Amino acid sequence: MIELISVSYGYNDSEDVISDISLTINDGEFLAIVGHNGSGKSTVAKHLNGLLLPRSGQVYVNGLLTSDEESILTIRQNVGMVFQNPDNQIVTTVVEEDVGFGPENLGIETPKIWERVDEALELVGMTEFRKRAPHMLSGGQKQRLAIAGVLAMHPSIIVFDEATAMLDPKGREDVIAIMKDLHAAGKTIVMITQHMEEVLLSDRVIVMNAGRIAMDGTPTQIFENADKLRSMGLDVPLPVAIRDKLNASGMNIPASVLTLDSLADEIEKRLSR
Amino acid sequence: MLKDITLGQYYPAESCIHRLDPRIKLLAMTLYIVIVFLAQSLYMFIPLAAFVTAAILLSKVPISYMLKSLKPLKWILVFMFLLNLFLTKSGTEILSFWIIKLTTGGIYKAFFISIRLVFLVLGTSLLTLTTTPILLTDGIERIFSPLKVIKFPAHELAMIMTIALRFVPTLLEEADKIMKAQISRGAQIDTGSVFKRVKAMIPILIPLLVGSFRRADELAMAMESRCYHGGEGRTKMRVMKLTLGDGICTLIMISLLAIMIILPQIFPMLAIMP
Repeated sequence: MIELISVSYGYNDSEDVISDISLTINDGEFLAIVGHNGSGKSTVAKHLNGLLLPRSGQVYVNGLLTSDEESILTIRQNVGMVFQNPDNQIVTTVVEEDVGFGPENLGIETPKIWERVDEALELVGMTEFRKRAPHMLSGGQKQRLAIAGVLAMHPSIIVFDEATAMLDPKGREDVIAIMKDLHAAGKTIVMITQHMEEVLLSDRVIVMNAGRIAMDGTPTQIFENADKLRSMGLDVPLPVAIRDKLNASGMNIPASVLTLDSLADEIEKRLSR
Repeated sequence: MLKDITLGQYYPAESCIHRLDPRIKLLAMTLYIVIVFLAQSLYMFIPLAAFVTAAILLSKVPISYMLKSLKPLKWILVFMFLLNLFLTKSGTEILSFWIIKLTTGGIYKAFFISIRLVFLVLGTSLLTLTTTPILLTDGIERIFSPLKVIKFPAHELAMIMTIALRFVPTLLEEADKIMKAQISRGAQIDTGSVFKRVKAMIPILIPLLVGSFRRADELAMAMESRCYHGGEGRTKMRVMKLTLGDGICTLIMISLLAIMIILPQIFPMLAIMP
């Protein structure tokens, strides 16, 4: 569990980038944090494992304070983080050695490191590439490798900081599938994103605007307020936009319809009546 | 195109030389350099040649591949050969006009110095050809780790080398991209005088430099997220264990050293340059 208690942060002496953020991320949750560029969503993400320390307020990870130097390694082992640019998070020159980088830092005994490496590579489907050099991989494969590197540390919470933003559609699909698998396996997932379609994966959405939490709810609740989202520079997924237009012209499609398939079903139901 | 470059010059093969512990190989190479400088005459190169030939054959690295490592050296070789040929004045004079004098001593010395250089390069290339860069870095870290007591940053040095190796292809790729972007905007990189071409490199190097700072920043963050906190309390995926082969290699190197020291003692004429 991660608890942010009225967290504010700003770079140097400048104005706050985020201010007065209070947020509890529960175990097993799939949380999406969305927001326009500069809304402070990535700044919030970097507070979750102590990469940034709040200017005021506190962040607790499983009861440990991130500003406490003694617990920072435990916190970072617990909260894995996958970043946007896959190239800039791979440290060594061989795939399997990169996966072992985290466990090496944790001081795990050698045979156990290899067990973890095998397991993590299997989880992201990269076992066949284990002897490759990272620069020979595609963007999606590199990002899967980065996820494996995080998984090898056995975290309970994984933060994806716009991890799909630089990938091609196939790579994005692969990474999203892994996110789903990990969530199903009981990991807490925090996904920072600009893609409103990806938000549908989550069971809770935080919308950030100008450094503050503007909305907090399930995807259904959030997308009921399409106008409010648009005013913050965010779009709604296409099925939601179609749904709202149809509803405006008199169709009564329930707010829980968010995907193309369920929308098609609803329209079919009405047409066949 | 740039993606396919190989790092260093590692030649992948299964051989007893490849399998040697990198620490032993590094120490053997250091010893080998000393041995090469112990040879004071052409005769003394004979045992050395036997050793190098045997090592190359055992390593399964093709001779043609070995000779490639000499290629960048060709001008230095020619320069050193000519310099020694005409500037050494000993032995009998063969040819002389104006200020140039060719002596037997000069010919001997020119060959001697050139062959010595070839030996040095062949031996040291064998190390980089049979050891992956990552093992080499690991070996260097472990050899220098006793110096940590005097605050020598062995781990940090190895980490810097690893990251440099990791990012060479990435930065090359980026340079390629920037170059293409600048060319498509009308930059002329391949034409004009040397000065013009050097100047044309500036719009490529500056974005590359700025980009690498951004990369460094992000990489540091990713490393911290994965609990990197220096070399202390860190374990290793690869455990290095000395094997019988490492023992044999050490023995061979010591015997070679002994031969090179003792031989001129027994046969003094071997050590004398004519």
